Amino acid sequence: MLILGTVPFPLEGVSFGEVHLKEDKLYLADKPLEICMGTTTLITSCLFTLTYFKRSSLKALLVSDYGEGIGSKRLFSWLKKGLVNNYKVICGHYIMPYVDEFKDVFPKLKSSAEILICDAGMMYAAKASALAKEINVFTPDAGEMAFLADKDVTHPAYVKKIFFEMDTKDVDFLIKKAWEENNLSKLALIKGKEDLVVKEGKVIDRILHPTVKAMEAIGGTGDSVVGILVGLVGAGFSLERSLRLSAQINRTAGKLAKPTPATRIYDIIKFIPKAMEEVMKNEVDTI
Amino acid sequence: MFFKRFKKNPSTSDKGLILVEDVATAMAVERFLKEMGFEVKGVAPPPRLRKGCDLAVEFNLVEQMGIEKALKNTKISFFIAPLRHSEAPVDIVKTKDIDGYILVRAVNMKVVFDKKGVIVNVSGGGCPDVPYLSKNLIGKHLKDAPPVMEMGFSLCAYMLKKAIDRAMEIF
Repeated sequence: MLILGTVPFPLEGVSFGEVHLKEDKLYLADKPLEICMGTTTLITSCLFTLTYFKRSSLKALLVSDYGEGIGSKRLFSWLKKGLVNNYKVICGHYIMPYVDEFKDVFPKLKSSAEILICDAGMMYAAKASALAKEINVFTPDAGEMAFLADKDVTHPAYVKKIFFEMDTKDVDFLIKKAWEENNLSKLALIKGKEDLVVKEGKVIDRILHPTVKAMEAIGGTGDSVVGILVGLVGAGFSLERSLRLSAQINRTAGKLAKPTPATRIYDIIKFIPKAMEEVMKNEVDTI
Repeated sequence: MFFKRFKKNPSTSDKGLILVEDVATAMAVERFLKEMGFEVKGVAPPPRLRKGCDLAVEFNLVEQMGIEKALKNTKISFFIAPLRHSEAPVDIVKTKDIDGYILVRAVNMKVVFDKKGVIVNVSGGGCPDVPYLSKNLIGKHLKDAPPVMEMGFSLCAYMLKKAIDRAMEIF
């Protein structure tokens, strides 16, 4: 499995290698990485998930980018050179959603992974490139669902007012619209008050429990659910089952953390191993 | 076949235009932004976007905030529009009270502050400056947020700024 994205702290060039946790600190090879909202939360959540299955093989391709886009372009350029292959899952995360660059590397990504999961900037780029249906999984929240439903726009900032106004009231309409416009992946996890598992434009599962109101306010809870998802798929669960389980495990970690809207994301994801135990004991079969 | 199918097509939907008063200014803007490291080029604006000048500067829309910031320092009068449609970034926000904290959301960006006006969380977005801005905003009072937002470049940062501006009005 490979996770790729940008980080908001210094890293020399494009960093590629095995990521691991040591005493709850994150490392890429021997380089310590700060765990903060974004791609490092996703990676850490994935590693916590894999730990439950006594697996740890996870690679990351990371570059420093503070928003000026230079790092993102470096990462796309690295991918274009073709040093990626044979992954069960490739998950793209925070990155400047450059459309031309994404189109350039997409064939390489598609041929290098069995399953492509796109969240954050990588999802924006995939939608804006009209390649949504070629992606296995998108993981939007309500605002991003409005963006996917709006066929003409290439970034959520330009979404039509009418879609933004309905984004938490009529998500089902937005799903239908996004699918009809070819702007939704085959499977999707829509993160919100209810987490929705969507297959080919139809809701196949709704996850409501446990309900932890404060999680909506906490930056990184969307990153953590995607990390758990990647870990479950990597451990051998089917995609559909992983989507449902990842939502349940993320919510359960939230419940165990007893958060307020001021809680920081690490104080939630550290409960993923316990949440895994709680959720998995109710599963009839394992993998 | 596969590679042929995904062959790169020039995309216009992700591009924006900088419109200025005259050709000389457009050329100066193009040169200036290139020197700043942005990938820009001079193009003819579509009729609906003409603003007295028949040369505009095309840029990558996701870099809108960085472009605007750079141009504001030059005192040049300019107008920005997406190339494919005439919509401006959505200008409404939604607010919500969660256990005494206020969450303000501008489409894909959320900021949460407490009763004292301190930012306690930032979430959403997909552009790389979001995690960076989040790190620098959390723990700060709303009134101290504008200088931090000066470090933003992307459209996600632009939406986060809208959420913060509204939060400042509410507080």
